[in-house]
Amino acid sequence: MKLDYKKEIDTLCSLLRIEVQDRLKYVEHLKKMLDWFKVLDEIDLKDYKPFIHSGFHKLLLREDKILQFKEENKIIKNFPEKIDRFLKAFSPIKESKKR
Amino acid sequence: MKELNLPVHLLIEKYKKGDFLPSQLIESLIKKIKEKDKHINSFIKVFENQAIERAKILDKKIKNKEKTGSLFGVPVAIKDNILVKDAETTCASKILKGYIATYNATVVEKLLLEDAIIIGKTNMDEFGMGSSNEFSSSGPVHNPLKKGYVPGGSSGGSAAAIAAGFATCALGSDTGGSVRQPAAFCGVVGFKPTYGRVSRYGLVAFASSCDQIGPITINVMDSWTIFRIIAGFDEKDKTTFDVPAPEIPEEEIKFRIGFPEKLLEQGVEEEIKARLDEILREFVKSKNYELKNIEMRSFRYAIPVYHIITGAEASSNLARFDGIRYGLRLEGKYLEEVYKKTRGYGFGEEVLRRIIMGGFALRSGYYEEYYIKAQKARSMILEEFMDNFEKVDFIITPTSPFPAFKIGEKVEDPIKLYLSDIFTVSANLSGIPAISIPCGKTGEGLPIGMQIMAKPLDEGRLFKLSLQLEDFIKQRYGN
Repeated sequence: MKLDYKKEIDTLCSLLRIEVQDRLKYVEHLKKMLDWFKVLDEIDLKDYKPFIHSGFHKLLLREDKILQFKEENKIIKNFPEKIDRFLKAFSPIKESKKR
Repeated sequence: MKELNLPVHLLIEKYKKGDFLPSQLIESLIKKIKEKDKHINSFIKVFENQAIERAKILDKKIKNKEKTGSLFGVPVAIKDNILVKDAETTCASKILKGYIATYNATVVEKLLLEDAIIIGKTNMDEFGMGSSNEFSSSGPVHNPLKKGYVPGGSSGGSAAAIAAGFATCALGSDTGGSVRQPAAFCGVVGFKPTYGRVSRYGLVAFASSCDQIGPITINVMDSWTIFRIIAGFDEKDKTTFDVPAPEIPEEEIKFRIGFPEKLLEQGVEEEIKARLDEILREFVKSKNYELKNIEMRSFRYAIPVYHIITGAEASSNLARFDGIRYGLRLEGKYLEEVYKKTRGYGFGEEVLRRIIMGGFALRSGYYEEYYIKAQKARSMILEEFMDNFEKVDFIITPTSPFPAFKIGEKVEDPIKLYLSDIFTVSANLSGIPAISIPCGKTGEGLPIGMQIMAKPLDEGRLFKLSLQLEDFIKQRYGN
């Protein structure tokens, strides 16, 4: 199936939640990259399993621990918008009315 | 002050002899940075007051004859994607402008426990994506060794700061060569430990399965010193190993060195190839080591594999930057518009290229063809390394196929730029340790880097060989 690159970039921008100014630039880049990736068709990979972990050492699992974080104020300071100590986001009800 | 460029052990010796105090060194360094960094742009933020304050506390330790740490008074620069508590961490991105870290990365905690002084946050390619340090919202970094040339990337600010003598050591992060390649371009030492040796807690993730923090230093011994301090199990990063810290073996070992000669036939600049060839042949002869020609067929596929996997991981890791909880937020009529505007404006062009590519590789219908295929090829790359490490102890290549290039020369053609990582990305894909050490300069005066790769967790022997090679190169070519 022939790939419609322009449409693909539009879909990807929507999925990735990004607004790009010069879509053609990204179309060209995607084309070049996919061409470049064709080199992987040279390899016979049927005997290989997808890489999951290097497996050099066994991972040690632990129980989750709840730690007391004493500096909530510093996190709150990083909020782009806030009301008192609360993060200001968006109201889905108001939004649906706007739409 | 002449002592600004001393290696760690000599600097500490001078403090102990009472030649000068940490606060005097830091004041001189800050003066030097203020004078000279405007032409280099290696720092995003210099911690002028905090560093002097801390140095004064350390002054008192000397006066009171208190016990001191192994990095006592050593000025360290930190890449701007590693969290330092109460300091801005931007990852050189507009999207994180104003974000103040609420805790220290584990590596930073470890350095502070040893009495190091954090001098500032260094410039980088945005979120670690780049090989020239031209993709930074804080502007490009200039190579301190040659005006108008790039310092490499993505830890270009850290490498440039060390080469310029603005700090004794620096930390960078290496996802595809981002510590080793800038170290090579700036004529300093850059080391990427085995994946899992060093905690990534507090490192802003780019591609979690490849990211690893590593030191940039003026010599191999300083790299070892920093590595020994930052390595170790961390409960906050479950990919870290709970194994004893490595030691440099004292006994004589007859090393077997692998050199993929065929690989160097294409795309490596003649001067670099000739220099490496000359050094290796003479070095092995002088030490009576074995030099074997090996095959590394998988290098040909490493960069495409790397871009598919890291792009996919980045598209997921960077999803958290949406303008809601921290950093930049652009106005929009509804939530989705806020996300799109904030992310579209907040991320630079290279980051957008990579996350678009990564999003594509993960898309239904293409996932098997790209992402799964790349992960299978990654298993093949690891297998080829392990097969070769049955025959040899180390694999040596140039760090980069070409030396530092002019600012702007490759920026319009990203694929050309990606090729500078051809020798470095495989170590990240397979998780093995690798170091870049300087091995002289080209006729134009640009540093050449030699990369040495070793088996996983074999850092002790890797450093033994690196120290020997560094010594040999210094004797032959001078500093």
